[in-house]
Amino acid sequence: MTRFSRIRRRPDHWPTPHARARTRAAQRLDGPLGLAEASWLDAHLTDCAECSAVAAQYDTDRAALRSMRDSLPIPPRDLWARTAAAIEREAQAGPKRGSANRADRPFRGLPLPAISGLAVAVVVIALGAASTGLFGPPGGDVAAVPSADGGPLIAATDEPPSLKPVPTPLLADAGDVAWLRRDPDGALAFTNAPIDRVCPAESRATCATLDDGDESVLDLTVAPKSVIGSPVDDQAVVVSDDGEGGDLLVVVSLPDRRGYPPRQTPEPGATPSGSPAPTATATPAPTATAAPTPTTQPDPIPTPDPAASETPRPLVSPEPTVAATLALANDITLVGQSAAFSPDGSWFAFTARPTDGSEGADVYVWHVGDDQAIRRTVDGASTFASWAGNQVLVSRPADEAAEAGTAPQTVGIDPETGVETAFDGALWRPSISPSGTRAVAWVGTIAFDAANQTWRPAEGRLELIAWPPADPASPDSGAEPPTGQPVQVVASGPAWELDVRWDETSEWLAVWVADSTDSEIGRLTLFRIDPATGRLDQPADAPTEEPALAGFSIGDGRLAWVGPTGEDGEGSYIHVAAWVGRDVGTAESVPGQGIVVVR
Amino acid sequence: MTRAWDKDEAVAFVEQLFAKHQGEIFAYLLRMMRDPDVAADMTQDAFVKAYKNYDSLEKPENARAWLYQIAHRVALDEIRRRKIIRFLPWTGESHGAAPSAEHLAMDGRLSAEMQRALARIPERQRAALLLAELHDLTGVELAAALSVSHVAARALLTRARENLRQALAAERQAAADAEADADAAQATLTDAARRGGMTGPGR
Repeated sequence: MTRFSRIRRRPDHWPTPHARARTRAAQRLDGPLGLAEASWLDAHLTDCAECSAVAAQYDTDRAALRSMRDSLPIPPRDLWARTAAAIEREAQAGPKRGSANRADRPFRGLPLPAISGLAVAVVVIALGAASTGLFGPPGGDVAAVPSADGGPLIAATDEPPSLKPVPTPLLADAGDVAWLRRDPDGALAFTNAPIDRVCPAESRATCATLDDGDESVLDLTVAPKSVIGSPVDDQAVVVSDDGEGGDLLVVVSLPDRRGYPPRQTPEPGATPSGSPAPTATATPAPTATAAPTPTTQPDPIPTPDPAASETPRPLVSPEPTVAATLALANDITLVGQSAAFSPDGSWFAFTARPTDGSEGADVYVWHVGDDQAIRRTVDGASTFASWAGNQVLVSRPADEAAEAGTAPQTVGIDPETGVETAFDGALWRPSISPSGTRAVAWVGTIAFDAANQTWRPAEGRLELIAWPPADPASPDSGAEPPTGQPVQVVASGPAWELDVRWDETSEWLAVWVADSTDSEIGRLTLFRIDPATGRLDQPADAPTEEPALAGFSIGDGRLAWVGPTGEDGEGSYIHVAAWVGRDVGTAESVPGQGIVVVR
Repeated sequence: MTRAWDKDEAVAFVEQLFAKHQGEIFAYLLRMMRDPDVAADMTQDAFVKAYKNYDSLEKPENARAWLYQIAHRVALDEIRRRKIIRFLPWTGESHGAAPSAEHLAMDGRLSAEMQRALARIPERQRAALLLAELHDLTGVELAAALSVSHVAARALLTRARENLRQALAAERQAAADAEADADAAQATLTDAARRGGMTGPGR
């Protein structure tokens, strides 16, 4: 059965021909290969006995599975009776959308500890689930204090240890967490760790730290500030300092992250410029080229001149994958924390401005497989908000000339054609849930930050709203809840920088807000949306206004972030919150330097 | 645009859905969990969730994929929760005693070797394989059921096939090693018995 449409992949992006052959042999079971790939595969299997055996085994395994297709096990005879009774109980429990379960957490711009010696921004890859509320085995977690005569330590509890309920570490099986860490030799270690154990808050002190998992060395000569991983393969965009006051964005392949396959080539005809599909370049060197000239048409970033640069060349170890680095753009400074791949992994969008300050911020898009990113807006006042499906949401001021706060507006842009579609409501940087039915957006005014040539939230608050927003002329405007429903405030107060991300279920979201003292440090809170009521919920032990460096990862049952370096100079910790149902537990790593989590 | 939730309509809809799909949903959950009692509970849970979220189904023609999506989430949550349950003290109840091959076949379940191999691979990949090969979901349905993109669903299947191949190879190797050990042990016993016979009475 042809389950998927034909795909293609650049033939030069495989670690070995055998890896290519085995992947193609598996893929052809679900859909046709391109003619060229099918011919190549047939020829390879003819010459390679080992790959031929693997392909044959795929067929055999498939046949073994399919042999059981028609033998459906018989459900219990009373299953409908039980199910009907359960539904009846639900119906009698009351209206489907019941009492409000609203979390209204005003944001307080608390001062954070000064961060000294933090060499690299920390990015955390989220980790798995945790649950709380189970009692552990007798004798656990008893506090001890010295006896009055200096003798052996005695238990500080009043009751026998065997009777004291102690939350036990809980097995979790959420998604892996991947991060980069600079070791004492200066090498960049990439770690992909499973999350199999988290703890409720009251037993966190005795909870084992996260295992390091599999570690590989990446020969990246640049120091990554953030790493954004593709949702579908092993690609990642690494943001680092270009050594000239700006940022360098390069695309790398990370070793076997989450078991993702090597990157697929895009479908034919997907290149926006219409040029032939580009081949992978080997370590292009970023150069000091002129800043892009604003025009009425979006134009690509000038091709870097490999001969002219003294900027460090990013290199990635060829093991375990052949990693071709690709510089997406140069002479730019990344703005904000919203950079992200599209849900299908075919596009990458970010906000950036020329490093020399000659213009304001614009939104750039990179079609995976192309040589460079394209500047998709040219007004110098646009900020990438989030993806809505494969549409780029861009926020900009309604009145750029306003000196004080002004209302924002949001448009959706087709990344390929640049066609814009306006959305109703004065919303700034809405973050859309994967289900497409909800969003978290800044509702209020924005103001221009002259020092950074960008627009920021001014007066207002973060709200959970329905998406897409309704016509403001209608009674149920997007910035107002449907009639009778209270407004759901996610955070209020000063918000210098925002980062709001959803997990893939649209049930959990994390909100990071930076205060004005340092845009790289903020407070992170985990929220849950009650699926039955659609109301904001904050389960016990969910991280609430946790100090966190910019960059976190949420998904697959976990949230991961990096805490600021301690005042005593101790390195940063990776923190993980994971959940099952509504139960949340946490774990953390040993301290390290220069930790960056892959988002 | 989602439909307004109406209790009577929701009940009628779920009843119809149950009549049409209870067998395959139960089969999927049984193949994921390998325990018929747990699978039955989870099937009930899935249809109750379908009732509660009836208004989230935008197009009735997508009901099957939507139902599998619900069942898949129920399965993932339960898998995680069952790992937590391992920390609880033994209650004396017996769960998951190894079924006989005949029992498995009559139950429509997979062979013991295939079950053990599937248990070795990540549950999302396992789910993708089961849904694609045993439940015959199309590419679009599979992506919807797994709540991933079309591309990601295909990637999951590709990885699943390779991991299953390796897991089955490991199972067969383990079986071969066990058989070789058993043969060696038998040969030792036979040899010892033969030597014992040489020193018996009458010599």
